[in-house]
Amino acid sequence: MSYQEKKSVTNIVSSILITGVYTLIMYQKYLSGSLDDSNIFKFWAIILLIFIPISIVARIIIMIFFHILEAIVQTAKGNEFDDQLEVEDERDKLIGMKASRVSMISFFLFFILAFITQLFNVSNHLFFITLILGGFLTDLISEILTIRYYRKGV
Amino acid sequence: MKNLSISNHVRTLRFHQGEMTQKDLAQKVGVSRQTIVAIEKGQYSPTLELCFKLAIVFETTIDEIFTVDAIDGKKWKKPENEE
Repeated sequence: MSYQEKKSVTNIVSSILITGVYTLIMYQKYLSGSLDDSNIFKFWAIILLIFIPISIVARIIIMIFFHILEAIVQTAKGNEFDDQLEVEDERDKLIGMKASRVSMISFFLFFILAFITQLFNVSNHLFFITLILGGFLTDLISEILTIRYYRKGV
Repeated sequence: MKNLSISNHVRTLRFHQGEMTQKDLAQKVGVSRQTIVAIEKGQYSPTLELCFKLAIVFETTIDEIFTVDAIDGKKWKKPENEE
């Protein structure tokens, strides 16, 4: 498995881990009544505004651990770790662009789906849940596609 | 003309350059070793700029490195030069 593939796998695992743990914590808080949901927009604004910085910091920490672990493994194998940290080249950029194009389309579809939910007699919470789920799945799709492009070629 | 089947002689040319390693070639043309691996496997078609860089490193022409084998599934042969 190449460095880029390992990085994508790490991103998938960290995305699932961070979102999963945060969702559980917030759901527990919601059940215990710590979060006021009388104003839906304020409720989701609080949830998202807390999630964004936590997610960024957690991802940075996980990536630092990944690089340390990768450096140890590669050094033990007798490889030079610096060789893997090459500057992003044209193939990396092409793969990145292809994956982001698909993820943009995917998020757009979830965005539309979020509005469609409001046509039916369902809770307004479903609108935000669909949007967040869309963002999460789009992130996963993007990383899975990146791995696929690295393995099968572009 | 929808599908071109392109093969390359990067591996052979590396061999003729004193068994140049993929890492050395990658450093010379400014890409990652993985990109050289992908080119050799035929999984990635490089940009024209990278093709020229490879040609410069191997001191040859682009068509000596990359060749079209088939067009839309039909075998294709480079036409002879008419002078």
